[in-house]
Amino acid sequence: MANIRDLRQSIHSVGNIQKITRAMEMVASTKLRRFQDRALQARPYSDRLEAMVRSLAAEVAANPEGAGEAGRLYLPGATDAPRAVLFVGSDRGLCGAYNSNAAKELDAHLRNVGGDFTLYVIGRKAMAHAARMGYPVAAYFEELVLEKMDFAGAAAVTKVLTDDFLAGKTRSVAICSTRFRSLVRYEPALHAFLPIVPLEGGVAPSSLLLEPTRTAVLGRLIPRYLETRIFHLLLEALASEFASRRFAMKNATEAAGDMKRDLTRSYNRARQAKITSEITEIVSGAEAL
Amino acid sequence: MAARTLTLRVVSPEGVVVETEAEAVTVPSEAGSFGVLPRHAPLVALTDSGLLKASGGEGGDREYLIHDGFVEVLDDTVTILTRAAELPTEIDLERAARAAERARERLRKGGLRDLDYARAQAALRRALARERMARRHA
Repeated sequence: MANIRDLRQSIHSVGNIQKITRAMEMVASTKLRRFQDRALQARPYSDRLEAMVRSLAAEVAANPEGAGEAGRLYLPGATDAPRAVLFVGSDRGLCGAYNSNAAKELDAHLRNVGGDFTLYVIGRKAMAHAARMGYPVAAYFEELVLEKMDFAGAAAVTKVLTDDFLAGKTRSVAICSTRFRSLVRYEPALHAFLPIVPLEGGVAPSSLLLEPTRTAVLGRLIPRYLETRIFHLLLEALASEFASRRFAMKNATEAAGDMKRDLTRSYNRARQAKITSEITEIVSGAEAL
Repeated sequence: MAARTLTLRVVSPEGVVVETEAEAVTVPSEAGSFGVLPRHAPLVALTDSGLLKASGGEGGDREYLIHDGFVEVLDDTVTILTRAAELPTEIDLERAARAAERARERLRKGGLRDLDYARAQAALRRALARERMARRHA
């Protein structure tokens, strides 16, 4: 019976797929741990830096000219320029709803805000979505390999974003990326990036000392903050990607196990039926003699 | 009257390294070290590689090695954000010596662009500060 051979082959290939998904699950777990640790450790640093920079807003507003180029990052950009969004997705697929959730968040945001916009894209899958929807893309950071991403990579992205903003090519910059809450919770969200949003109740400008000079402090603090912010959001996005992939692969492995069990049951039943029918044939053949 | 104390917090990308109370703190800044006492005026400054000292409070006198970054003094809280912070006992003298040698080599060879030059210089300063620190506590 050809059916039996087909079943045996199916069992075999489902088993192979299960091995692959299990291996992918383990790889994702290891990478997840690595990025998760880094993302969680970096959080206090990133948060403190953000609080520091945003509380300086009043100080900069009091005297924008004296703040140098960095001071302009607190001011709204050119009003006739498009709003920009840095859209972060993954380079690879097979990570569950990670990319489509981020894409949904982006689409909803663009619909709500309306008006002109342009995208900066990180991740192959994110780029594929932008292309499919026909969104204008100002830059695609193709050479940034997410998994090997380091601070220098994040700094390069930051430079492009701030340079374009200062050159009046964008009106504002937001970041659409996935935040890592816990192993089972990761949510895509939009974060304001440029111009820098002032913190309520910052320090009164007159009483604040900046050493060695105002320009020097702002010139170093603000770029460092922006780079750290991007770096940190990318780390969280990566941790979310691997958490999502691990979960997807775990489900796939379990589904493959179920399928294998069902197929084995059908296979055994078919095998039994064949034996029974052969015995019946032999017996009836013997009786005929 | 109970003495007012400062809260000292050192944060690096690897997490919160130090969180402690102190009566006085000395911070290595780009323009030289400066002391902070309670009721200090709000301040933001650039830090440099060097010794961060905390005195008084529960832990007695303590020293940490910090590197380039930022210090904020606000409401009797000293927050230091630095690329790296170490306890003196954690420093690997040999590694620091090797790093210093590498940085010197890079600077000597020349041909570095502004940014790379600044980076090599910062690396050298870090390594030298580590060496000094490790020797003191050896």
